[in-house]
Amino acid sequence: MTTPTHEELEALLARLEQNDLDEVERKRLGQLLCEDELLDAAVDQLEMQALLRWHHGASTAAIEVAESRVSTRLRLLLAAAAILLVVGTAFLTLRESTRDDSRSESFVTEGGVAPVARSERLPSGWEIRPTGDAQYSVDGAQRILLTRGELLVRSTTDDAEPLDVETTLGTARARGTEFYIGNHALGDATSLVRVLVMAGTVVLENTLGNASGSAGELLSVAASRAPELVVADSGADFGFDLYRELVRENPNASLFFSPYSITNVLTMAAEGARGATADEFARVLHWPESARRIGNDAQRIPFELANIRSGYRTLNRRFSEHDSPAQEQLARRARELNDQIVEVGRRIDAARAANDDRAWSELERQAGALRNQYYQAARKIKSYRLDIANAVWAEQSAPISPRYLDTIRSAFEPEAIVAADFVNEAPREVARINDWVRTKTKGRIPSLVDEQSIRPLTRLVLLNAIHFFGEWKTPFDPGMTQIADFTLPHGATVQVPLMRNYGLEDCRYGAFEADGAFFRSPKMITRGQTEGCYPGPGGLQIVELPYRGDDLSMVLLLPRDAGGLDALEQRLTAPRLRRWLRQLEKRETKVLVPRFEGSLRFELAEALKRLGLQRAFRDPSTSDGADFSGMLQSDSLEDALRVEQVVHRAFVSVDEKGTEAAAATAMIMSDGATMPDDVPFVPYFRADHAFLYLIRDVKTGVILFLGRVTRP
Amino acid sequence: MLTDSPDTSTAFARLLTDSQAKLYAFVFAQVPDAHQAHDVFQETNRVLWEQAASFDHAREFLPWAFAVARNQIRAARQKARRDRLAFDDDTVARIADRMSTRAQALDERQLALAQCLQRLSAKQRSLLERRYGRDESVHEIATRLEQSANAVAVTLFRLRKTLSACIRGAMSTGATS
Repeated sequence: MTTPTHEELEALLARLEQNDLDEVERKRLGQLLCEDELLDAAVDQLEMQALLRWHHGASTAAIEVAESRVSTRLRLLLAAAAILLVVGTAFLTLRESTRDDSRSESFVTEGGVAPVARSERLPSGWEIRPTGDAQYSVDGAQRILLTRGELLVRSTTDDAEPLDVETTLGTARARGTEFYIGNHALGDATSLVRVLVMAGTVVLENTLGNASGSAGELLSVAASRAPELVVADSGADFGFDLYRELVRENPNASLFFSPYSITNVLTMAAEGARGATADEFARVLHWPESARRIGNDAQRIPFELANIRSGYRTLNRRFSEHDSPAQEQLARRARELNDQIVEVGRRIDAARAANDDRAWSELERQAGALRNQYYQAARKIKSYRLDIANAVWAEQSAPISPRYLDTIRSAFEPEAIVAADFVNEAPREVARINDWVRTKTKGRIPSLVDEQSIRPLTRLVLLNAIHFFGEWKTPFDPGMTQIADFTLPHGATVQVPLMRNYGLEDCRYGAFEADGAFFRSPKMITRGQTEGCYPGPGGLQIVELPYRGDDLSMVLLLPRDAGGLDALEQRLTAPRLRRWLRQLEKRETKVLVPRFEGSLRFELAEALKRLGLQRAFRDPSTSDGADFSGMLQSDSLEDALRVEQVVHRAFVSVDEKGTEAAAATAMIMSDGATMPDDVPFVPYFRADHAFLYLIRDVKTGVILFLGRVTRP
Repeated sequence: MLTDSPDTSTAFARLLTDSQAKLYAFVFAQVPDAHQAHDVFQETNRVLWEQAASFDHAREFLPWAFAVARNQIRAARQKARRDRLAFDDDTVARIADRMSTRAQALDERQLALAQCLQRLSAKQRSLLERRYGRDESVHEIATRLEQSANAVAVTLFRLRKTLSACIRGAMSTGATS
């Protein structure tokens, strides 16, 4: 009889066969195989695979000998033996091969063997050698940005200038030394930077401090202290707070906004806030208590923002990073493989025409292997574009503190700090700001401010613009999109285009009961079974759809009940969402999502005030008024600043878009002829009623956009 | 001390030839990635040939060959990216132990397999032929059959389970002897 653990083993081995096991599943498989009974069952499967391969003669080359590595005497012995081998089994041939050489050129390794990387010499007297698929860029002669993977770094001359290797968690500074530095993404969306010093001394530092290590010592920075994770977590908390406020202002309406864009601007303002005003920013933005300062001037400057600044700088750079060396290499590799596939295709045609069945069969095998490699490479190619930019418009006659602008410049790297003339040319500044926003959002936000908001009394405008375009990792087939009913929150229905994918495998799915507990969706059900497949009333389903490149994804949260969005929103918090997302599992899902598009404009002042940001909007001359004295020169006689308005516009369009190739591979599974008794359970995620969604960075959890659809 | 006389060379070649199926199964059971397993199998054969002169013909060949294969598997796993490894080291060791104890019966199981395959439907045999004969990936088969990859993988799992049970039955009744 099949027990649940056997079912789990079956599911995991099925995923292993698809090369789709993730880290968690691998660990689980290892746990299961500690039990003798399950180990026997697994070995039965593995042995049977081997027997079947042997039976079908899939192995075409048993012995390959690198000529340079064997003696002539042994080669003679091998040649004699080869005759026996060929007679003995039909599958064995002797080939002298240079395969190892070709493998070293390969970026995508079939068998998981790390490619042999070339070293790179810098003019400053340093040599770097990437290992595996390290992602890095050389930023000048003395600075390297290591995004992921490991580098061996060594100085080649005694008088080499100091070198900085910057990672997401800190910077390693070295002189006359040799060290390994690794930036590793761990399974739970965290990362770890380690430096193993081979010779000399290396200093690893970040905003929290520094540590130095000499030969044989290991330095490391733990991921839990990563500034970008602090920003991600606090941004998510703020995002859901604001979401609830905006829902309150816009009941029953669809909405969409970018928490990340708003927190960029609020944090730039918080840099200049002082005293109780700064405290309010910290509370509203959910900064951790660990950032609170202790000391003489802690009352005036209550929070240390170095860590948060560093988080924004890292994230903004990473999100806006395009065409990394690894991505370029992948694209190049995909083009090469494509060329090889075309060439093998020509040779197949020739073999077929010559009735050379043996060559034809071998070439078909080669073409299959190449197609697999191409498929793997192409799916790793990032196909989204995320652009994030900050800007500051500062009135030229106002005594804005150069120190404040320097801080903004180094932390938020604004694309523009504009000396504006609001006093005499407010309409012109309105046009310039809107031009900048329009350019940064590729025309999707045509205007943000107007002459009611920008006036001669305006002193400072802090801006952020974010634009994202991504292709689904598995696109929807436009031919499958059909007009169908969508149930509105109060029960009426409207007709909308519903996109469908009946066999989506590149997604993660999970279901949860009304109390938030994980609902164990069955792996197998008897044909026709409907009971026990979905959570009960008040429950919800979540599906995460990745964009190509796997860095970003859209998460959709769908209440089981058509009118259940309100209840879901009430209990949705950032920690709960994080817990739910951790529990999603990769499995085939039938996904139906409406195609939708919308544009919204929000005035955020009232929502922010309700969240606790009140002083910032008040007359600074009053005792409980705004204090932005950190933005002004200390000897300034200028009236202090206050926030007048916070406006936000957002645009969203969700459709079936994808590459032609991906559209051609959309699959529907329905044939269960070889499984007469029971069938795999493929959950339906049918978003034909109001749902909530967000676009997030998979690695850090930063919520870039957040919204809901009540009427597509 | 043994010398590399033509006799011992031929004897060694025959030992290796006779053990190919067992060696193949031993490697492929521990390295589920077929391409990687193929490389390990080749490398194991190469090393065995290189060490032919030092093989003591008084010893059992198969445990020695398995020990060489284990080393090659370990070396390949050290070179491979961690996320490409299906099993951890302990699990691989357990699978290797199990395979070592089953090795003697492998030839018999191979014979029984041929009989059991005949009991499958043409459609099921065709599926196995695609996967193991033409070396098509699960995704390729799924695309061709217009099924999901998971459905194909589950079907393959069940076919292997059915075949394994059939082989056990055949061996217990002595049908292959």
